Amino acid sequence: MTDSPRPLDGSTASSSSPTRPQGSRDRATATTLSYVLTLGITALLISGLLVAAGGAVESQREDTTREAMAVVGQQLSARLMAADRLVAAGGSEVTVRGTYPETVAGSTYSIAVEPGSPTTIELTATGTRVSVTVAAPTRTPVAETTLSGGDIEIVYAGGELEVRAA
Amino acid sequence: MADLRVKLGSDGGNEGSGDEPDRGQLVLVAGFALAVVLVALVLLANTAIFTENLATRDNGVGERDVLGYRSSVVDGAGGIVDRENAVEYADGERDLLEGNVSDGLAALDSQLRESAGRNAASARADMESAAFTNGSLVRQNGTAADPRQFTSTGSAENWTVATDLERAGDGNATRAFVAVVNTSSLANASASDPTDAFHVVVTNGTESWHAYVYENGSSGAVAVAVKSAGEPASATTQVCSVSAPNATVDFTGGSLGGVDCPGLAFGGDVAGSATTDGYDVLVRNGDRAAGGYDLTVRTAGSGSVSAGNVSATPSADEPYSVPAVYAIEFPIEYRTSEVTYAETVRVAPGERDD
Repeated sequence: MTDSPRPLDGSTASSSSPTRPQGSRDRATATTLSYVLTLGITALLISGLLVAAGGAVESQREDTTREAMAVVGQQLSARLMAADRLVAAGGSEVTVRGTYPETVAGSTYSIAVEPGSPTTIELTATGTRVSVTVAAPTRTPVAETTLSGGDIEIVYAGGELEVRAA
Repeated sequence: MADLRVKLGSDGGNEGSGDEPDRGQLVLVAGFALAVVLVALVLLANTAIFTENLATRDNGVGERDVLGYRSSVVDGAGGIVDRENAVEYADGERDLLEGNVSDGLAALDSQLRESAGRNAASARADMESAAFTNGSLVRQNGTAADPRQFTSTGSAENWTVATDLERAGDGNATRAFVAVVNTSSLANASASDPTDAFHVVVTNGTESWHAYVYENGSSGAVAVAVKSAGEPASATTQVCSVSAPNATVDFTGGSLGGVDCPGLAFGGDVAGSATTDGYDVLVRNGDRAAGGYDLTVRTAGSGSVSAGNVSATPSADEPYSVPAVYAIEFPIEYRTSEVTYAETVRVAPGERDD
């Protein structure tokens, strides 16, 4: 590698006064500069690639988390409404259970049940802070609770439906 | 070619050989980092696939099965109660009647338990702790083709069917009051002048609810008009009508000729859930309607069938009463891995819906 520029350098040197030490210093600068440039550009390209890929992964993770929590939230809402229907049919003891993943896309999540009209279920992922809200209109009053994701049971007690960790 | 770690000894001042591993390392580290990113993406794709799987495999908690079981029990028990009541047990045979109802319910329970078992569910109706509510079936054995006038045993056209019928809880005290009337036997009247028509009166002594059944003077159809409790006679309104040679009037179910008749709610406020007073059921102008009828009244508490007007033994031509089960209550339970349901159901077929 260090040998190849020599004929070119030699030809320019032959036209001017012979300054060998100066020419050799130029060559060394060019080599170091090209090395630094190569390294810099490579590092820039690679870091650009990594940043872009990391960003893509992050946004994919948020999307996946949101989608997974929406599914869990809707199933929870369906169960809450099923429990409501059973209470409306005259049930005095009603328990509905559900099995859900404890983590979505590698992060735990919390389930907050907020009574109101309609009742809402808000799921928030602890890692990405992504949150999804699902409505669950019920006739029976629902108790306000917050619990962490995982297996749950909906129990009818004291005239209201309560979502509990199973 | 390259190594993640610089080899020992190769670092010793030799620039030419030290360059290669350094440059290689950058690409290698970047390659590893990209590999990790790709693995993370694959894992996320896997999570997404799992989510889709989770979304599609959920088939609900099976509350339809629970409600189906409940209505099977209620319908089945209602059928058993009605069939046993229709056997017309003699006055002293109430124990036999209740024993037969219990046997029927036990057979129903075992069949429903078996069918629930096939759906991986445990269902149980506890017939041991069934509570019976005493009643009486009042019946007049006429039909549309062979009509009998709606008069008492003494042929009185204005008479009392039952007195002091008491409601309990959310239940009523009269159920399955169905009459078949022959149109030609009905009085020709209208909602503005119904006094001559056959009517059923429900009264608590201060207020009364009237249901008139007559042949509409202008259209010739069988019509039902209702005067609400506490209203003057002028407030009588025709609630439904049907053109037919004979019609079935379901006073408690609220239908005429099999068609829903929303304005016909037996007893109105007098017998509705707003009151806890006992009420009497009276017939007025019983000679202006003919056919046959059935009604079951709740005789628990102070309620009773009017003995002088209704025969105590079955009779071909006269109204009579026999012991009956008015209502039955028992606990049911339905369990699957996902749902638990328990309730004490009350079975009183043909009761007015409030």
